[in-house]
Amino acid sequence: MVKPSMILIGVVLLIALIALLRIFRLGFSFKFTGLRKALASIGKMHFLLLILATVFGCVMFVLYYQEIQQTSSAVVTLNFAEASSGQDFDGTRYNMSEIIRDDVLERAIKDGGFANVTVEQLADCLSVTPMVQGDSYNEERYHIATEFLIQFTMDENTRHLNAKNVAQMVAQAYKSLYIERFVSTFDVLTLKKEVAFEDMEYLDAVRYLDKECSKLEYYMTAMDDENSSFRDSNGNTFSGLALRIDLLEDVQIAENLYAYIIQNSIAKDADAYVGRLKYANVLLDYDKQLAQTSYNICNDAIDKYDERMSRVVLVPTWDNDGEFYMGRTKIGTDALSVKAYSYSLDAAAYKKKMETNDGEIKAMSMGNEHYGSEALNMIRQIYETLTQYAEDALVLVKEYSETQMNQCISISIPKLPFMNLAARSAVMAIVFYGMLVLVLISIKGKKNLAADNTGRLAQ
Amino acid sequence: MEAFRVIGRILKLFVWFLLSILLCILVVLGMTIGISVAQNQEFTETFYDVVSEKVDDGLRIIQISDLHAIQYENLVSRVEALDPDMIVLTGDIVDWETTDIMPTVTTCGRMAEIAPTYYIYGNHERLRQFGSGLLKTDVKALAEEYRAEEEGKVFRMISDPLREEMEAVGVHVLMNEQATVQIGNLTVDLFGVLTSSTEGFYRYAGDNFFRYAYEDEDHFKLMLVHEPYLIDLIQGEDWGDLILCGHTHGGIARLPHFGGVYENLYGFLPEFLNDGKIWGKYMVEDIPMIVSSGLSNLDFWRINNPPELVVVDISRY
Repeated sequence: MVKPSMILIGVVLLIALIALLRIFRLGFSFKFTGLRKALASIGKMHFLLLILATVFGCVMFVLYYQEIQQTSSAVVTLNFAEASSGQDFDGTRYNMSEIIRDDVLERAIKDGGFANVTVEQLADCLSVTPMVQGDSYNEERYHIATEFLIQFTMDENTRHLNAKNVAQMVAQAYKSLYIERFVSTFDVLTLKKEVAFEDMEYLDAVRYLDKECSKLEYYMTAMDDENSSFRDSNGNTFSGLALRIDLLEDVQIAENLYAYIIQNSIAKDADAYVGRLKYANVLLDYDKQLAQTSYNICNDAIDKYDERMSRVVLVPTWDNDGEFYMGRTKIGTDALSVKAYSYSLDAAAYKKKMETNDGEIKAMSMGNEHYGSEALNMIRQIYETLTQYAEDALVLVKEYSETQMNQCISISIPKLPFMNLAARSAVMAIVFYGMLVLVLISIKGKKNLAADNTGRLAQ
Repeated sequence: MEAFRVIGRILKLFVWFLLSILLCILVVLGMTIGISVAQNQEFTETFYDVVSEKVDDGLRIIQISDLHAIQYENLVSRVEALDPDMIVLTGDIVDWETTDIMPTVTTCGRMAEIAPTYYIYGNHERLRQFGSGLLKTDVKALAEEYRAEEEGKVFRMISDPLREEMEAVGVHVLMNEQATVQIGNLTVDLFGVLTSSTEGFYRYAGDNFFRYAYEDEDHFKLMLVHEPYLIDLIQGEDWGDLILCGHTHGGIARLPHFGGVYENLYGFLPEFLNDGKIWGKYMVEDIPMIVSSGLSNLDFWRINNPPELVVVDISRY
């Protein structure tokens, strides 16, 4: 795109060239004395030229400033360890074009309050380049970039936007979305403040507590797999908290509470509860039979396989040391064996559940609420303990997230190159001054020549 | 004689040279001021990022400061487009000489419809309403005049059309007072300072301030004070999680490398020579402080310093 400043410079240089050609045609001598005479011939006009050059310099400054106002840039720096290997947080390959992907631009448009512009229009004005460009063909210049420059240049669709903020908002939107993608979610660690245990059947309350414990424990175990050494400001670790929750589940809930309820046959409505368990057992029985039948079918299929099949299915392959050998590839019986094993485990699990239910049915058949209040107290105390563990877990995970996410991406906005603009304008003012001097010299030179010719003619 | 002629010629040339330099300077100055005046008819938006562990879901605050009763056509629409969670007006929203406050009140009322809006007085409002800068002697005189039981309680006893109109349109005016607002899951405590002189602050705002600073420490604490001097002059105080100020107009004109040209308290080149906090984001004992250059465009010498609307985005990371 041709900028106004370029046009102006072009015009000035053209005029200077024309003046120079005229001077050459006049037979001007570019020796020092000749130059001195020519400059002296302009006299006090120099001061006027100085003022005109200053005005021109100001005009150029304004044009340059306007041009720069139509662009903006921001630098995104990735500060996490994986970035230096060209990876994202999760170890997948990092791609810098994600910085200006559609959802980032949508967020930037929303956060910046940019009106009347679509994602596509904004994308057309943006580019992302690494701050330091390596060379993948030259081993000495291999470089994995972790700093990226976002540049915004206005066009007719985005002319109404304040360019200054666009690159910054894109960078911030990218940072926000990146953190949202990788930061841990805390929702699962927030337990309900009030749970109506008094409305639940006692064994249902036990199952509820058990489920909440399992949720927390799985979360802590998963975080421990990610970082087993992290310790928060309270001295808690993921494994330590997981162990405490596990003990609560095994001892307080399973051994104490559950046993207490079963031994004392505590139930609000024993008949209804027993009825539910009996129905559950019916469904479990169907599942068990299905699993059992599937197991038997798999075994029959295996029996039908010709044993000679397992001898002929050998394929050439390489071991870990790169040595060639004939390996046995998997055949149908292998898959069937795996499935059969899985079905047998399922059948066993259903059977175990049914036996547990039978035990509860037997215990609850004479169920009553004699020790109901004690059971409710135990339930509430366990839930209070669990809530405390959840709060500790929340603090732990938040602090861990902060260490991971804090400053994982930083944004910097390059300052306006004011001195650069001023210097360029000053240079242009000098060029303009020079052009004016050449023009004046060429005009005076022509006049002098004309005067000389007239004088000769007169002679 | 010849020597005198030469000296005379040189002097004449020198005078011409000086005159032309002077003219050049005037041309540059004139063009600069002209361009600035033209540019300052519109405001610019400055975005700041602040990190706070208390904010899980993000919080956006728009700060409007030193408006001096100027009406911008698109101010409310831009504020609406930016979708803030809260709007704060940090003083000098009207000028002490403003005769008709209603256009400004209407504008602020429209903003109060967008998000909870809180307003503190600056030096212009204090002068306009209380006729003074509210130093100790001023407050004592007011308390005697209005027979206030406690000096610090006199401010709300005095009839105040500006405050009444603002509160009528839904703007909360804070005079050495705290307000609490719930934004999603976040509770924000704001403290608005009226008496921002060092002698007046603890005397008239102390009790309320200590309650704000030291109770409910899990709330996000936002301090609003018109002049940033208070924060600079009193060390070691827990001002909260974010401080928003105005008053300085960014040092009027801003020079590259040198910063602001003049500020009342810090003098000439306040940032370069005196480390004055007059524009931008600073860390004051680990507490972020943002000083807005304000929205006023009344000063024709406000060069390279466009009127600004401040947008503060607070997040956890």
